[in-house]
Formats: sequence, C-alpha cells, structure tokens
Amino acid sequence: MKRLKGISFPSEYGRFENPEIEDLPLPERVVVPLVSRFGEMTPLVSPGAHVLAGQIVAKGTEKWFPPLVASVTGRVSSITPWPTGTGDEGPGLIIEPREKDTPPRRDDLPQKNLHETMRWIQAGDIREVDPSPLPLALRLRKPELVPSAFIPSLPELETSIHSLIINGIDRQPGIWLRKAMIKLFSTELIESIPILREATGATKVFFAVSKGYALEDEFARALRESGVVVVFCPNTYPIALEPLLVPFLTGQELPVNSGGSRQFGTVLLDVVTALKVRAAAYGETPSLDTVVQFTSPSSGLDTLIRVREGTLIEDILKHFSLSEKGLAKVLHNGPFLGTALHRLDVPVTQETDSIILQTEKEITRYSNEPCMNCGYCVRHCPMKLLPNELSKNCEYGRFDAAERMDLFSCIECGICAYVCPVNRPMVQLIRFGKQEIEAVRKEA
Amino acid sequence: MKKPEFYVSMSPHLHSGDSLKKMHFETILALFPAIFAGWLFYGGSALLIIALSAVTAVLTEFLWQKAIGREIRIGDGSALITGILLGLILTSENPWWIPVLGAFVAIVVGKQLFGGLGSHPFNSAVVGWAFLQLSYKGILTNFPLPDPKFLLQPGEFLSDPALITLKDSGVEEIVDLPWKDLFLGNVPAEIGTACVLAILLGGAYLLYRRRITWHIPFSFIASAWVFALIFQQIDPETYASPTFHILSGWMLLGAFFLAPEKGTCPVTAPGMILYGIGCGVITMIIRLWGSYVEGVPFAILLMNAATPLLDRIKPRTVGRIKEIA
Repeated sequence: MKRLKGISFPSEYGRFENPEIEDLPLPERVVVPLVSRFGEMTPLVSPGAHVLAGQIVAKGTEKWFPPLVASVTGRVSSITPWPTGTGDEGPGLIIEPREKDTPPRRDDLPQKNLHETMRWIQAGDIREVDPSPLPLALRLRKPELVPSAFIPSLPELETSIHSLIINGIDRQPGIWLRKAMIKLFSTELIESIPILREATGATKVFFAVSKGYALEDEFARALRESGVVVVFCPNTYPIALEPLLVPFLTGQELPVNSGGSRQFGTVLLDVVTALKVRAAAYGETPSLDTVVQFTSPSSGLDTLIRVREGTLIEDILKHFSLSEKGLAKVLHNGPFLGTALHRLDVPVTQETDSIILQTEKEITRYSNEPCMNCGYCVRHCPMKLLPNELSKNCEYGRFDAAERMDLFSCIECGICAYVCPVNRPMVQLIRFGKQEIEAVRKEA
Repeated sequence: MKKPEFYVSMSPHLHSGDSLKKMHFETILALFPAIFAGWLFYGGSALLIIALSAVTAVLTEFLWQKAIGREIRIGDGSALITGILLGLILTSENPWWIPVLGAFVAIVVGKQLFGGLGSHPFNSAVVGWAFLQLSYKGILTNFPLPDPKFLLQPGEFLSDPALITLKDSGVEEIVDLPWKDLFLGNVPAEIGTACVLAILLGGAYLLYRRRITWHIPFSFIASAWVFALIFQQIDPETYASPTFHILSGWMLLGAFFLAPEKGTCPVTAPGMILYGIGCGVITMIIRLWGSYVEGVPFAILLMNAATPLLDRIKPRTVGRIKEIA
C-alpha cells in the first residue's frame, strides 16, 4: 500500500458512542426532484393524482437509469421548478402526504432467484451520495447478469468483477454518518454481503473503515466468517473518495475521466448503499426515507435524523425549533465537498448525507492575495498536482497551460484551499478553469 | 420565489486557520535560540545589530509600500524575518550603518523591486548580505572573539573563524579542533552561525511544526557531507573532514533557515531534493576551491535562480497512466 497524501484529521469517535436516529414526523409536503445525476426524468403521474409510497412516479431517459419512487402516500399537488441540493433548479414533484402510510413490503421472502433480486434492486431507486457515472443497480451486476441490450452502450459492464469494496469511511472531516451506520446496522450489513457477493461475483470483498475504529467483536467475527477483508485505512481526507480508495486497496489507479472503477473490475459502494441493497433484496423499499447527519455547532446539535425523501430542510429546522435568524450558511453534503445552499426549501434526498448550519462567525472567507509559493498545497495534494501553478494559471486565464498541467485530474477535494496560509481560493480557481474550458468546448 | 438570504460560495467551506502571520511568527520563534546564543556569546552589541537590521527592514517595507501606493503588509512579519536573518549573518562588531544599509537593500532590491512577498526570486536576506560583502568586504571580516560559556576558554583553539583558519593555514590548524567548540559556539563567527546547537533547536521546531520539510535541509547537509568526505578520502592532507564542514560556517543556518525560504525554493519533493543537493555541492566547491571562504550564500543564490527550472520537475499525477482499458 502506498503512502497517502492529504490532510490528517482527528477521528471523531467520541461523537457517536451511542448513535441514535431520530425519526421526523411526516411533513406537510415533500418535494421529489425530477432531476438527478442521471439527467432529467419524465413524470408518470400528473398533478391531482394519488400516489402510494413505493410507487414508481417517474422514469429516466435511458432504461437503465433508476426510476423515481414516491416516498409518501398522498396527492400530487403540482410539478413546478424547485431548487435542488446541488444549488441548481429542476422540476420537482410536490406531494402532499394524506395519512399515515405503511410502506409496502413483499411477502415472498427470502428471494432465492438472483434475477428477481436484481430486479428489486433496480426498481428500488437506490441513489448514492458518492457520484458514480453508473447507476448502482447496473454497476453491481456481473457480466452474466447484464441484459445484452445494455452491452453496446455500456461496454464497461463486460469486465468481470474481481473486487468489491464496501466503504465505511466517511467522505470528509466533520461527517460521521457512515461510522454510526456501521454501529447501528451491523447485522443488516452482514446480511448484505452474500447478496452483493452473488450479484457481483467478486472474489475479494474489502470492508474499509478508518484506522482506530473499534469494530464490535461479534461484527468483526461475522465479517471474517463471510470471508471479508477488513482494511483499516488512515484517517486521511480524502481517502474515502473513489480515485484514492480504489488504488489504495487494489493497486489499480484510475485514469482521468475514466468513468469510475467498474471498468477495471472493481465495485465500490458505501455502507449506506449496501444497507439499501439489502433492504431491496429483503422486500423493502429502500428509497422511502434517508438518514442524514444534521449538525449545527452554534446550537450544539450534532445528530442523525431519518426523514422521508423530499423533506425540505426548513421542515427539519422547524422540528428542532431552530430559527433562520443568525443563520449564515447552509451546507449540503459537508464542509469540503458540499454545496452552500441559498435557501432552506431544498429537499433532502438519498444523495444527501449531511446538512450543516454555519453562523456568521463560523464562515470561512477567502481572499485574493497573491500566491507566495510556500508549497503547502503541493505537499498535501492527494493527486500530486501543483495546485499553486494551476490556480495561478486559471486566475490569469492561461487555461491551456493549466490543462497541460493535468487540470482535469483534480478531484476538487478542497485541501489546497484549506491549507493555504494566504487564504487563496485555490480549488475555486481550478474549478473556474475547468468550467471555462468546458464552456469553450461546448461552443466549438 | 424568496430572495436569497444565505451566503453561497464554492466548497470548501472550512479553512485550517493557518495564516502568514502564524507561519512567520513560528519562524521567528525558531530563530530565538540562535538570537539568544548570539547574545550569550557576543553580548548586547549582537542584539543591537539584529534590532537595527530588523527595524530598518520593517520600516523600509512600510515606506516602500506607502510610497508606491500598495497595501501595507508589514504586519505579516516577513520583513521582520528578513531583518532578523540579515542580523544573524552579520558579525557583532559592525558600524551601525552596516545592518541598516544591508536591510534596506535586502528589502528594496531583494524583495520589493520584484513585487514583494512571494515574487522575489532570491532570498532577500542573502541579497542584502551579498551587497554588503561585495561593497564592504573589509568591514565584514571583522570577527570578534566570542565570550563562551559551558566551561570553554575564549580563543582556546581558534582566534579566527574556522573556515578562514582552514583557508589560510591549512588542515593542520583545525585537525584537532574539538567538535564541542564548533557545536556550542566557541569559535569566532557571525551572530547567528556561532552556535550549531541553537540552530538545530530552531530547525527541529520548524520541522516539527511542518513549516519546512526534511527534503531541503537533509539533502543540503547530506550532499555537502558526502562531497567533503570524498575529497577527504582522496587527500586528507589538503581537505578537512566532512563533519568539520557541516559544523562550521553558515551550513546549518543555511540549510534550515536560508535555503528553504518560502517562495525562493522549489515546492515539489524531487525539486527540493535537487535544490538541496545543488546547494550542498556548490557550497563545497566554493569552500574547497573558491576564492571566497564561505560558499553557502552563493550556493543559495545560485540555486534560487534555478528554482523555476526545478519547479518543472513534478511527480506523476495520480491517474496519469498510459493504458486505458
């Protein structure tokens, strides 16, 4: 295993000795975005229609994209443009929950037929926090399970899978959702392993956790018995991200813009997704609700909540009786990789892992100081880039020079901006350069 | 549509809290043992030299930035460090105008003419020293005897700086010089280069705080040591031992404080190692065969000039692989 660059961060274990999940009551309305990582979706219901929790309400443009499932039973009141967690806007399906609903459950369990299980996983509308160009239900399939109609357009699925990585490391400092989920759902995690193993046909199964994380004896033994290799990875951000974790565990480096590790025979999924796969295979609908870390340092809140998919952030605030006053920044998906939202009526979806509230005092401001070439960013860059040069090139509009220095290898982890002693907006400039180049390409 | 009410910005939304001020404060802290040793061995006049140089440096920076209408940035401490470092590489017996003139040149010519912090290619303190060295060579070679502590006798072994003795009188003079004298500072030297122990303490602190990495100091010292060792093995009658070279003169101050100055040294690991090796080898070439006694400042200035080139040597980007499946 190679030495990793990045920033070390203290393990935040004390924060979830006894993790608990608080269930939020049904909100007055949920908003299910009709746009996802896999493009816009076509609604199958019209305003006024009654939907059941678990019912498929929209489908993607390609038949392998996950469908959209209603998370509550109620009436579709309208389809209107709505802000999303990425800071953009897209059509949203607004559903008003009618009454208390009981999520549907299949009875013919446990399912022995692998094809049937795969169909359930596909229909389960499982979405991930980690961006992957391939939907989970496809990525998981060994070549024999891939319908031949998909192969021409998705040649990467022809590779057979050798390694399966279940990622229990949190994406970034300050987030502890996955660590808590392992603790809370260890039995279910063990149950997910045979399903995943059968679907992928992987010979090696890795379970990645942070160094120092205390696995419960029973859980560790169960993992060992099911032939899983537990790897304790350094507490270094951004080890949990695919371009770093896959080479760390398997030795396979992922080329720039290669479209993920699936084409190299590796399937990476996090523990939350593994739990959802298990739920789908056990006849539940995994996409109805989602567990999110909700943190507000100023009011001492740092907790896990379970909400229906599409619950608005303002409803969560209301539940904790937090006022908007004094609130300066709302972070969707963490301090390093997340988006700052400009409003509170953004729905929480499965692609959300955390909501962090910052007050005026906690905000970080960047400045336009000149670079002094101290080299801290170079020292910490996990992709071994030269962020100092890249940011200068992007700042002065020398995009070609930046691209020659592997601008597009940057995974935008944000470490360069985090460590910069003159507070330069390093990764922000790099991102700007990428966008400029892509805009020019689009025009051409 | 409600109007936006929150701050929006691109990620990351956190900062380590590091700043230039902190960085420079820690560097000054690391220089304290050397300043203290200077005061211990050379008395109050050493402190006066450092103070004159530091005050002039800060004042010059202030006036310059005022004059050309730039933002006043003396608060970040970089001018202060330049001033202190210049004071440390002068001897304690100098007329008052020597550190003042040196600091002025260091700031104006060495730093501000190039655009200020981060833009100057050469270590500004060394530029100031080089100006003084070229202009007032006679004054700078005025080395007082230290007033040593730790039961050492003043002038017991050497009454001139070690490297000058070596150059003038040959290896025999220094061959039985105890290393303790060099290590603790019982030889005439500049204020900050006298006590090797003090410099090592400061350097260790900088390494511990990760303000510098091991690459430059290690490759600087190791390459000089190996280079000196080779020639000592060839002809021990002519060439001094490698350890003598490491412990004498500016070697350690250069390796820990002058060569790794931010902005004037390369930033990639291979670049830093090559830079250190270059510094070490050039230092030894000048020391062994040059007309100047001390090679460190010129080695650093030469390698500073090579920094943009060395910065082009970068490690392979992760994911930059040829075969794409």
